[in-house]
Amino acid sequence: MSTVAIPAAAAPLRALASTDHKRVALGAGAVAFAFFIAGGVLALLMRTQLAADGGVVSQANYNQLFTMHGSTMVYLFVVPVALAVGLYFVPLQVGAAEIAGPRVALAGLWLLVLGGLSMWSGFLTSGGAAAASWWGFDPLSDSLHSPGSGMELWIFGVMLATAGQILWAGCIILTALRRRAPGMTLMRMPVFSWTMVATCLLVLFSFPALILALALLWTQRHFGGVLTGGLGAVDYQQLFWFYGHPAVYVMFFPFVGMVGEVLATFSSKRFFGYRAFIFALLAFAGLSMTVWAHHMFTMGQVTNKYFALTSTILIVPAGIEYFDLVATVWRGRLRFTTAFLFALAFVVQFLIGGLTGVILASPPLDYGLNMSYFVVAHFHYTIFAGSAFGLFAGIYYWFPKLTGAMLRERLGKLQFALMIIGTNLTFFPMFVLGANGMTRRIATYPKSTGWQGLNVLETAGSFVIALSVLVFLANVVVSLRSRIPAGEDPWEAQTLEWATSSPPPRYNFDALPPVRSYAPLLDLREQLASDTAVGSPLNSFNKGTP
Amino acid sequence: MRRASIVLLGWGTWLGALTALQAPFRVINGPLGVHWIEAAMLGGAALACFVAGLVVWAIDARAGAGERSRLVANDSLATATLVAGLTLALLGAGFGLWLILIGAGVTALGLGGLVREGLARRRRRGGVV
Amino acid sequence: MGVEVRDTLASMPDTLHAYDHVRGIYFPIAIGVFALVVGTLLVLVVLGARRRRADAARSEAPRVELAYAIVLGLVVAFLLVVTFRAESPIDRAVADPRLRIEVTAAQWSWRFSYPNGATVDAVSTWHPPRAYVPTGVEVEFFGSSRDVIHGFWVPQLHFQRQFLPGFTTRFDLRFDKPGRYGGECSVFCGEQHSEMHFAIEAVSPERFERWLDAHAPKVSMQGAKTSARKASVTR
Repeated sequence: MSTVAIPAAAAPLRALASTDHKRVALGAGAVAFAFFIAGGVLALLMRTQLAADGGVVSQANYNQLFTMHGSTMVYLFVVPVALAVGLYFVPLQVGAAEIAGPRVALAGLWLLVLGGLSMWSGFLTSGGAAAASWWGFDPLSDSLHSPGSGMELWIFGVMLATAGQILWAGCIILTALRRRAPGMTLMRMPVFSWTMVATCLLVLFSFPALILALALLWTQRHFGGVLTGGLGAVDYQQLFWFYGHPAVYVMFFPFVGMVGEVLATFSSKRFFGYRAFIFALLAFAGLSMTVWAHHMFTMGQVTNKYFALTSTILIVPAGIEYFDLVATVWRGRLRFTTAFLFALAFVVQFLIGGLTGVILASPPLDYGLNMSYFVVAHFHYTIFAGSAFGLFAGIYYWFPKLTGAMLRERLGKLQFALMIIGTNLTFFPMFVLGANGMTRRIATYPKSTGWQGLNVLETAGSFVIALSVLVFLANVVVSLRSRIPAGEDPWEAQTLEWATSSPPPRYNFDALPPVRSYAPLLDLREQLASDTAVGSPLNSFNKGTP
Repeated sequence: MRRASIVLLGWGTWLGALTALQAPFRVINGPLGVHWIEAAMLGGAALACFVAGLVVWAIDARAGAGERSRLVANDSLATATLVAGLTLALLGAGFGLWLILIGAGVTALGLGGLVREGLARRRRRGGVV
Repeated sequence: MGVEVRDTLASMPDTLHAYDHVRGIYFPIAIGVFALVVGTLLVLVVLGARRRRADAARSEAPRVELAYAIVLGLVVAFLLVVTFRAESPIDRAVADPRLRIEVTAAQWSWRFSYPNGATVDAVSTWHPPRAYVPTGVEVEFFGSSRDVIHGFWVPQLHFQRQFLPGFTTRFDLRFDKPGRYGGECSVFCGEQHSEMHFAIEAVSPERFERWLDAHAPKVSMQGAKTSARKASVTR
């Protein structure tokens, strides 16, 4: 299949309206990263308040801070950036010239931008931004308990951003399913692309529940009569969490995929247990659609045991995935680049998040730990110590392909060291505090609890994280200003995106190498090595002697 | 390429099996509250995924063998305009009719732009093999 | 609108020991798994750091992975048995509790109402309500919220349950040791969510009876209303 593009228009127009999936993805990634910084600043404000033991912000403002921090990180950073990486690299990895539905992908970018602006403009209103947590729970979020435009803008903003994400998922999955290069069967699609397929399945079949929940909420706020009766509040949560739990797997699968690619590349061998991994991945994704009401155990209104079972049985596919990640490193020739370090850290730190998740999946334990800092620690370990570290592994791996320039390794390792220290300092003590009864979403705790010391420690950690992010930004600036050229394949990598220039041309490939497995470039290198090896009949220096 | 739909068909079936797994737990937990919503959401997702698989199967079957050139607009300001218009109209639901009308107008501009792009594509196709 | 009646098999709810028992199994397993995975990874990384060439004979091991998956499945089954066994007694409400206290949650305080009409309210933010209960018996808490969702959390008993508006929640707790059990609102409920403290004061049954009598509302025209209310409360 060939694609011909109608000639381009002027540069400013292209920035706003280009249909090149690479530009759309870069735009989305940049926007998402900007929201990461914004959401991070909110976190620093919260941590300052907690360390100072009051006096920095009022409780009302604090409620806006954690609402917008959570909302920004989930709706405007991690989910969009996960999909953006897929938007950029899935077409490349499968050898396609363009993404399926380029204008739809472009629409998704605009929906993200406008949705984010809508949510944040809540801060400019007289009542302030939304303050009903990133869940927007009814009845707290209804017109009686959360009057004001901040909540309205939040509802619309989340709807817009989510709609954009659904559109992106459609584009990505159709590309993977229907635009693969000749010779690339489903079972030769790279690991990252498969994790993106799983991610898109989750987005397509669970994210509409959020839009429905928000539409019902909006109707309830303006006309009433929708979420009524004692169980109306439960219905909102059923819909919300039907979205909310798959959403956290949308925030996991792409990153485990990029970590898989990074581990394989820098172990100089192909990914281990590919078929087992793919089946475990798809099983895992399906299961993750069935666990949502474990967020509602303490309501006494859901079938607790079913959800405890499905939430615990996740151990099986997760364990298979971990086996394959670790076995990829087994007997490899290891190259300790920054990307590889971040990937290893992902494996260790995400595990902490995952194991504490199994703990919370047991209702008797959840009854004691729900809504405490134990849960806050759990999800920050999975999403930040896990997925964000996986993201940085992907960034350090793919930055050369995106820009044609290498990121500095020294600065990268400095960022890594600071980030690991900061992350564990910030989030590990929260497990202890939560088990001791520290409730979440509170601006000031009584001194008598004795929690202040650990709170101060955690805040110190959060500023170390902030420092590490600054180091990263400095790295990007330095690397783009005084460039070290990357070439096509600086890492001796294995998948098709490395078989074209850095950055790739408009239609991605001038020519495609043959595809015989999920690591086509590795196959080529191995073939070349055996063809030119001493003793090979193809080695022209070797006439006669076998 | 027909095999691609197997991912959707297979995953939809898996979700269906997981929905069926809820049944014994109704019995164990007893008749409690409103739980039809749990089966409805998961079963609905299963069905939607399976149907999507059938649709993709049908599209693949119709497309058949043989390559086709595909014309892609290199940029599409019309798309951006359309999204901006729909956004304004949506926000208007909360802020007033005036905003809905502005949004509708901008949406119309966007749709017009998309029509223009379609016409341009058709003109081009006349010359492309 | 009907009120939900949970199935009521006789059992002794003991949230504290349920939590401790399950925790005593889950936490060590979690720590053990973590140590195993990280240890393995560390060994592989150290060995791999010095290797000159990638050395693996194969890139998949389906039978090993199948056996491994089965082992994981057995672990899952074990954990679920532990969890379900511990959970069933605390999910049910006892058929005939010794004491039933009605709880009303509202933005931003708690009210406890006893069968004889005694009520305990918050005096101020700094004086949260102190509800007395007898030790050693199952105490049923039931009630709902007047506005948004609130969470009734007693960290020392490792138990919480949400109170929903327009719907009655019921659960049983047992306070074995006398003393003060602090309570919090665990579900974010708006501006003064952090001020919704309460305390449960567990005392000997004799002392509890004395307290209850002392706090009964005075006999008056209200007396008739009180006994009518008492009749409706003990269902």
